Amino acid sequence: MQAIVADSISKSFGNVLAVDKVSFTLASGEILGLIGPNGAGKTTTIRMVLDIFIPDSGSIRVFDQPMSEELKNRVGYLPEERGLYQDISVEKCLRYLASIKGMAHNLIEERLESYLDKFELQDCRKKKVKELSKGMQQKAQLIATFIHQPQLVIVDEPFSALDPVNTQMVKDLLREEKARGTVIMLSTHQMNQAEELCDRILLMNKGKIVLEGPLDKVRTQFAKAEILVRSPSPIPADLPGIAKCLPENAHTRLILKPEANAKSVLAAMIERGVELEQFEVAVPSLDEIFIQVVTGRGRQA
Amino acid sequence: MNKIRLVIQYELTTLFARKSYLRMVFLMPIIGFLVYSAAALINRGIAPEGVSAFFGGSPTESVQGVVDYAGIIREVPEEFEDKLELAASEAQAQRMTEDGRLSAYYVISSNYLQSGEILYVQRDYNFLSTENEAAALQELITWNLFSDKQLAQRYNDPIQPKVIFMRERIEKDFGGPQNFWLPYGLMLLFYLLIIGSSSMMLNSITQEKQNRVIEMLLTSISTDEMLIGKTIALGLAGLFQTIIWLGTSYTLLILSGRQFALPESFVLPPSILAWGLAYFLLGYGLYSSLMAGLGALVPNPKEGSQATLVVIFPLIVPLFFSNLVASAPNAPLFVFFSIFPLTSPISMISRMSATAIPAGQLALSIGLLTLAIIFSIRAVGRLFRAQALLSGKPFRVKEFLQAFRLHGT
Repeated sequence: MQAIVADSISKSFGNVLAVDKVSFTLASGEILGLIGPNGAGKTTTIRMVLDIFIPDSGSIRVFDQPMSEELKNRVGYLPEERGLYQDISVEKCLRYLASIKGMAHNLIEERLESYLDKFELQDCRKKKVKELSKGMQQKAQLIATFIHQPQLVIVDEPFSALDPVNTQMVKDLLREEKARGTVIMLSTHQMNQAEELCDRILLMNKGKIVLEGPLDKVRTQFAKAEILVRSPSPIPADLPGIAKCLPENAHTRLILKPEANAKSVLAAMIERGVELEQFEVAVPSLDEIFIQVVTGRGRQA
Repeated sequence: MNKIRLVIQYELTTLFARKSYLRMVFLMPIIGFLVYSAAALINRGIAPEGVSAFFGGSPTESVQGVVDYAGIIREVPEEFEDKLELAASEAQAQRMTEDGRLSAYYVISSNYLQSGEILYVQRDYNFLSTENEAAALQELITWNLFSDKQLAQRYNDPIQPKVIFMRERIEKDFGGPQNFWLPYGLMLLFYLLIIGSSSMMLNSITQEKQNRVIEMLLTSISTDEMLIGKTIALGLAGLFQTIIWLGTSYTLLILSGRQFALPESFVLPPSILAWGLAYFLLGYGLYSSLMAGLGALVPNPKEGSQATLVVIFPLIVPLFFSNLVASAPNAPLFVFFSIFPLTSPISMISRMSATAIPAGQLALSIGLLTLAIIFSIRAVGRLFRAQALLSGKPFRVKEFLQAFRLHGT
């Protein structure tokens, strides 16, 4: 079953077209990465999925039905601009946010204990939210997102303000949730995190989807005829099939001629007795693909 | 419904745990009692035993002396013994006053029957001292001048009227400058109560916008549930405050009436309390919905408080004329204020304390106010939408008024 089916949704604010006929799906058991530059329309898209904004046109179905008050209880949301009551204790804030998600009192207490332990916030539970550091607040916000064990989670920049240890903890949490069957939509600017976690990506720019698909497929689509090699000895520049040889920090980037491929180049290197420590087909990073798509520029060879 | 209950529960528990709210609810009554106590203390003269004597109520402290050079006081009846005491001479009365046995004394001149001249000598200056305090002496003189005690009683308390209203509109018999205070005080009290409670709505919404919680809430509850929950919760909190303040005012007026012998015009009829609660709830309903609309459009609490004037201005206008309510409660202007929905929540109660209101005017006032609430809630319900709540645009008066014009109809 599809968790989200968005069909040609558009949204304008005054004269600004924020989202322009966007369609996408999100399948069960999947982590979808929603990426794009600032102002691309990601947050507006998310808010339409959550029924905070009503699309001007098009339709959205969540778990095969239009969003309803009952359905909202099955959805968790971590907004980009964190939202917690600042002047009350962490536990009171979390209890209230959990209760309006339809959780029973006993279950709230049980899960609260478990999540406070998991996120190491037990010592801070009585403190006012405003007394917590940004990282701690972020952890409290994550608890508010996951405490009702939603079936669909939309997380917007979940790693901001987190140190590497906590970043890893959140990544583990997202993986655990995925393993539990939770469908996750991850919006982030951190491409390495998206690469690490997402099954598919959706790249938005200027209100439109400009790139979509499984990560491997997208990378292959943007892959160039390039090979990264590391060798203790210099790479001969006259190897057959090599158009350019570009030394980089720890390795050398070989730009292939159109008729060459990795296999033929490897064979030629072995034949010439080149000692190899690393040989890999260069696949563009999501960062590079992002810059290329958004700016229209490729890596300067 | 369950989520509305959760919103009510959260708002109430948070509000009642907030020191600023509790200060607002209880500080005014405490100040009121302190002012009353201080006034009572001054009224009795500064007790040598200190404040404890004031609270304990020294029996001699309120006794006043009488030096009778006219020879008209033949007897001080038992019921006057705790109020008045005869002194043989001015010198004796002066000594007793300095000793604290008397709070003041009267000197009835020898030609009193011809001139009516009486000297009143007080130990300390007392701004609350009025001719009303001479009531006991007046009764004593009457009692002594009339040979017939019953006649004296009738003279002192000549009529026990049974009032039958042939017409609905009966003017109360007020006279004197003191009449100003009760209508003015009530108008100010209701202004503070309604604006105070309605501002809690504005504050609650703008705080949630500033904390960004609003986006979290919108993914869990509808804007209607949020608005209804907040309105009920803050209305209950406001009602609690109103009961405390009105109860305090009522108690203070009763105590003051006993302590300072306040005239009839200061008596607050219990029925006004009931009408007061009704007008508070209606006024709160109207102004809290307007504040909710304002809260939806302002980006933060700071701009919210600046923009409040747009909403509360109609409620301020009657205050400009409040000093005239007592003298002309049925002037067309005050009739208009007490019927027009934006001004009636504070004006009607004020008028009620100065005159009897015809039932038709009351019905019209409440009917229009109820319609205004429905109109306002419908308009604000349309304004109170996610797009406005999540917008960070600066507030523009024109946009607020335009939104009402477009959506209210």
